Amino acid sequence: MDESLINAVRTILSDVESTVPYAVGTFFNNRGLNIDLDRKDEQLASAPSNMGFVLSVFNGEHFEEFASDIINKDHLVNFCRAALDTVKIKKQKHILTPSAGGDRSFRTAEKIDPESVSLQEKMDLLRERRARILSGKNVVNCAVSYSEESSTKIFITHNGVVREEIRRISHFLVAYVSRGNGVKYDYFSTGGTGGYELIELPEDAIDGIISTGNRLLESEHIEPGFYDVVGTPEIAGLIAHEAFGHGVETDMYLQDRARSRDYLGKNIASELVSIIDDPSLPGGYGSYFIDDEGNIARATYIIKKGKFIQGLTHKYASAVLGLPSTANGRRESFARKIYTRMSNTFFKPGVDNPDDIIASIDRGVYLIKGLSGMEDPKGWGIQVLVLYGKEIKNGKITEKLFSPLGITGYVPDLLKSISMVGEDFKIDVGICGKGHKEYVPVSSGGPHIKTRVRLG
Amino acid sequence: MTDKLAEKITARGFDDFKIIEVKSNDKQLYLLRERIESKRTIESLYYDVTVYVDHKSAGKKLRSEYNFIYKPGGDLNFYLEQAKFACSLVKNRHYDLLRAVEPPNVDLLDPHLDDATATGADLADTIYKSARGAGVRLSSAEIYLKRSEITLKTSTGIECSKIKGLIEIEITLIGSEGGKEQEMNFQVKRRRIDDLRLQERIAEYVKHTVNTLNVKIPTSGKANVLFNAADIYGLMSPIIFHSSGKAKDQGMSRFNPNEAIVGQSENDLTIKTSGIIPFGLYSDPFDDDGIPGQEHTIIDRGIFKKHWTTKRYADYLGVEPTGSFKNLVIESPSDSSAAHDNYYEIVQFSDLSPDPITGDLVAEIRFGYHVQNGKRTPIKGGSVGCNVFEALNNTYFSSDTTFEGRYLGPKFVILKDLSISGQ
Repeated sequence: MDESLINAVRTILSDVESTVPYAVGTFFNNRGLNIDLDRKDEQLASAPSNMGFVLSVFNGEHFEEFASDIINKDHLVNFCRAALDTVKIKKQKHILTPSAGGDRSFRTAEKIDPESVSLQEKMDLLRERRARILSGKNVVNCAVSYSEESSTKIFITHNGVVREEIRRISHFLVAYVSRGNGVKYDYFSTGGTGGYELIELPEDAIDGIISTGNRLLESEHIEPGFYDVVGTPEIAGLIAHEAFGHGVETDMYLQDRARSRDYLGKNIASELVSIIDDPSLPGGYGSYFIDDEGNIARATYIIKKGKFIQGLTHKYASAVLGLPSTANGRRESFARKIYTRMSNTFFKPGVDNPDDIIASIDRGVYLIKGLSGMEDPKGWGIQVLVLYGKEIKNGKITEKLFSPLGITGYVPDLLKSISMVGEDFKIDVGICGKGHKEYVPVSSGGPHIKTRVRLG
Repeated sequence: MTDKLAEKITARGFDDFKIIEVKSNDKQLYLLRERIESKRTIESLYYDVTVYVDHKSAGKKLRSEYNFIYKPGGDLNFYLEQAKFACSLVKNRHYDLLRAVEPPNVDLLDPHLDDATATGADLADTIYKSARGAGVRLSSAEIYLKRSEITLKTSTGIECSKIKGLIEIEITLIGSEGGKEQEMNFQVKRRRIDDLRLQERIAEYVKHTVNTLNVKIPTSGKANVLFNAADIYGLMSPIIFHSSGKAKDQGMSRFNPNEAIVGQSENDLTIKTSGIIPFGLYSDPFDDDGIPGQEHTIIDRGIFKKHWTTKRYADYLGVEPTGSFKNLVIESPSDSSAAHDNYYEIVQFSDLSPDPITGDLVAEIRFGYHVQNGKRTPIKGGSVGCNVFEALNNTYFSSDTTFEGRYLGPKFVILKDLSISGQ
């Protein structure tokens, strides 16, 4: 980014510092590569550009934002000056203070810089993985995708410039299998913030998705009802994210849309449950150094030993509601508004061995791989779609697979039913929307958990 | 700028190119209860560029392509270098770009979007006035107004333009009674203000919001389930996936031309893709390949007719391109008059996303009604499960039709004997 452009924005912000209650500028930019291979074709593309600029102004009553992706100094200076001329300052109802002061910069630590690895080497590796999937029994097609992205953000106030560069890798493998009568599939995903080292796969990842894909051809639909279940870290993460992550995004409190507000400081879950949101988690796909309002990333205990401690905030929600500020103000891109959003959300590990958790169930289901979820913070309902689960009988996993499965239920019932929490820990790679839009990178996870849910 | 980009691409020795210039202006208005929380103004200009390199191997013509988004101020040389190198590593089957086309006229812009600020204020006013009732209040609303000018230029001589408008509104209502509260959140997206039916739609949801306060959980078992028009496009997504040329090319499609799509021959479902419905959300005078907006019958009275295809997959399959799947059109089958007196009418699912590949569907019931002997009992919770392909064996479509932005057809469909997970 052209330094003279950054300085020009800073000068404009300094000019209005004494008259405008809150004015900040943010530049976004990125570069990266997407590779997608299937059975017959190979696609390469640059990561979609998110280059753009936002001027955010709080006029004492509400926010006004002016955004452009025409990054030309003369144009942008005129754009900002004209925008500020239209803002009518009101009597301050809420005090908002720009977060960043001084000049700082942050960058994701990586072992292997993806840009130091040749495209040829990346293609060779992905083609080799494609060939391994396609050689599998009954495999009719596959998807092998790889994405590397370096996203930069420059947050500018009148008294400082904070820069961050986040490097994200995601790698996704799907095996589609068929015996001529319908197609089933299984997938494996990996990634996070970091370098090319994140493309490493567990040894059995490819054989695993082929084998499970074939077994899914024989899968059954479950008899709807309530079941004791064990969730893998992936399923635990989806539950944490949908059940109590979205429900404590406090911009929903402003709208009277979250029932959790009535439970601040109260017991809401089993004593075994602690849920954390941590944008500073090293390697998490949802990690960042500063949020989109310049707040330095740090962990927030949402639930501690069953008690609801604190919700997540963005600056406006924190100011209006008088709640402690957390670094969770995020926007999808320069073209979208800031909302309160999760980052890496997970159950804190407990003390139980995952094998012991499974052994404790007489009749139930081991929920293994997730598909998606949806929140309902006001009704406190939850929907989590699960690609497949395995039957547990007399403490042992059987050969019977159920697919697909839908977890639905009432969030407090589900959280209070958690009776065992594993000592293990894993987080995954995800993209999260608020409702059906505003997609941002996140992760969720935790240990194995045992609970009781309605399955359909 | 498009011409300059074309010159630079040609000078680098690419065999073909496609440049889509997108220039847009947005106004966004966020309401918190009955005041403004935020206003946003966005200007955007970018170029969606695809470059192509041809190769020959053993006398066979092959092709590689690379796509990037260029924004003024970005590093064009970096992208072109990356593209050149990437294209040297990939050799796909060859396909041609389309040559000159004559797009039809399709109305896609409501003139109200020429003054988006005033239109946004009018819409906010309508929301403030309509989103209230006994025990119901406005929680929040978001209004998005967008006007885009799009130009396509290809190395094969296509050069055409279109102007599109888009209006998106999301509203949340809160119902309260005796200390109990529930919400109804809904979104509507249209190209024309009149098609939003905003006052009427809000009035319907005010009633639903009142009814959310006294809901029952549905009973587990088998039941008939009514899907409203707004959900029919999503419900049909497995059909749309399996009728694509890409699915056929990759051995994933379960459909073959002139075969029945489901087991029962009496199913007379007719499905079309239409890119020419005025103000249709997926209407398009021309798509990213330059294929002119058209209407095609994909399934004719239960018999699969042809796969819809982009230019690339049309060339691979050796058929004429239809363009990508646009608005879904369903023609009412003949048995639509069948009476029903015991079913679940789902007003809103938490997320209706059938697996497009397997057709499996599990969706939580966010709100609906159990309709029995003319009595409507509000329901919430539990889920509906089925396989869409199997469920289509036993359906009833309404004879009344409606337009729902990306869907034109029966007002509802009832799928019989679906699995309900509830109490």
